[in-house]
Amino acid sequence: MDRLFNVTCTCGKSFPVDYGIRFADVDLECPYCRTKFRVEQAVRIDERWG
Amino acid sequence: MTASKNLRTFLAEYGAAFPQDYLTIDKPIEPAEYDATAILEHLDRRGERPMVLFQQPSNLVGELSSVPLLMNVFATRARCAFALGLDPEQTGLPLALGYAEKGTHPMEPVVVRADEAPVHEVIASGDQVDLRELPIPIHSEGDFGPCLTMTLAVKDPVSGAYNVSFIKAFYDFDDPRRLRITIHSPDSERALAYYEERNLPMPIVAVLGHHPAFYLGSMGLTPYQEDDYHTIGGFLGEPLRLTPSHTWGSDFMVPADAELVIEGVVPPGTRMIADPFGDITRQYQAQTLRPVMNVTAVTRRRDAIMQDVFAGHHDHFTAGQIPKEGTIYNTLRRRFGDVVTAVHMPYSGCGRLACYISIDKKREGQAKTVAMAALLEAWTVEVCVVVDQVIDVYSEQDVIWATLVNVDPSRDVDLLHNVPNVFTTQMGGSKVIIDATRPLDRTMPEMNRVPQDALDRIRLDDYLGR
Ligand SMILES: [Zn+2]
Repeated sequence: MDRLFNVTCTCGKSFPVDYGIRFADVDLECPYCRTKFRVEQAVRIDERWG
Repeated sequence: MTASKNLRTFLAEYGAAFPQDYLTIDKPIEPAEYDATAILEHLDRRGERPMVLFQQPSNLVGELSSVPLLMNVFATRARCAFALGLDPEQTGLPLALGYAEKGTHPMEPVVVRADEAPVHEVIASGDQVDLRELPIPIHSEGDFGPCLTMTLAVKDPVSGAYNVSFIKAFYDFDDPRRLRITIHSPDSERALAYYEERNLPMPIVAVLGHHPAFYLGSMGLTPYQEDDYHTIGGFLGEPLRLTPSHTWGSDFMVPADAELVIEGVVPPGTRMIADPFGDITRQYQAQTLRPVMNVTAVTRRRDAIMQDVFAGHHDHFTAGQIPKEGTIYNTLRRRFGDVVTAVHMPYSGCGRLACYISIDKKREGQAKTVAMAALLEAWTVEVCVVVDQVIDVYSEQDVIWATLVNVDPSRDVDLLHNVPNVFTTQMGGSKVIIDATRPLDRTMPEMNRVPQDALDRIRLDDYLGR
């Protein structure tokens, strides 16, 4: 399966991100509060797979 | 002369035939605040899946939109059958076969002058374009934002064939004249690759309202260089009427009888963030980078109705399920003859992930070869279950019963590892074949039954006093 990870925004909400852009030079955009931020600026990164 | 088939001829015919299955909601709603999907979800939880016309949706700036919103058109097989000119009482195999048959009669489209095309009654181009005027819904909590869910059309630059496919187009909060589009069908990806290799912008149009046969026809599994505008004529039962686009003239034709068309270009090499979206598998598609569409014009009927799919629900499942069933059945019949008796892509698998096939089994092991052929044909299928002819493939309860009593897991379940996946599921990347037919080489108890002569002798009404 495609790998994905979850990020948590400063607004407290989490959303899934495709692993293909884990290290891309791009801002994510929170669908809840529209804050734009880099992966490493996420309040929390949750990546688990077997 | 009768009007060419379009969305409003369908609404009039369907509303006359099945008024109870076509709801019109006059109260104002806010589609971008989930009002539309909340209403549809309430109905769905009651097992009701009517087509719903929201007469007074608000647009993206919170004002009453001049464009009503129509959803759930494809939510039942009976409604799709009616739209295709087939018997709405026959929602099983005859519907899938009727669909497949229509795919074999392409028709040459006819051309209508641009100034006579209904879709050109109102034109906004360049700076006049503002997508916030449309009642674009947000479907699920946590979606990236408002999203158009109908088809986009691209033109193959080599053959000139048009490809129409369902592609999500997200409203862009940074630019009301831009959409972020999730091009993912093999045909549209191929066209985009051609343009990007040459560093050229790709023309693309969104068709946001037409006769449902237009959309169902676009779902047919046709080869790349077959022109979907021709194929769709077979489903409409009459040639599709085309007209020159506002942006490119006759270099790019658009459906003349559409309700609303958005024209634009995909700039080469540009990717922007889009998604999440609660998609076909009832799960969120993760945020990723997508191409964009810079809108050049919005053309529409004066009283246009905008159409949208209730994503991740029956409206979405059914539209893809019927075309696949017919195609798989025909492929299997060509290979195995009348051994194959029925094919169904069940709702539990969202019309994509599972395939149930019934066979008139003659030899032990035959189910496996049928399943292997089905998996080659149906690239979205993760699990293929083969049952005996006596099992109704449209009854999930019966298919699972057959699986529970007939399957010896040590020999009847097979697993293919490391196959290219289509969807992000735990099973994606694997395929499972389950032979749930009764074994011919082992003694099994018979299925219980009330004798047929007793059933024939007893008339229920005699005993219930009706
Ligand atoms: Zn946020």
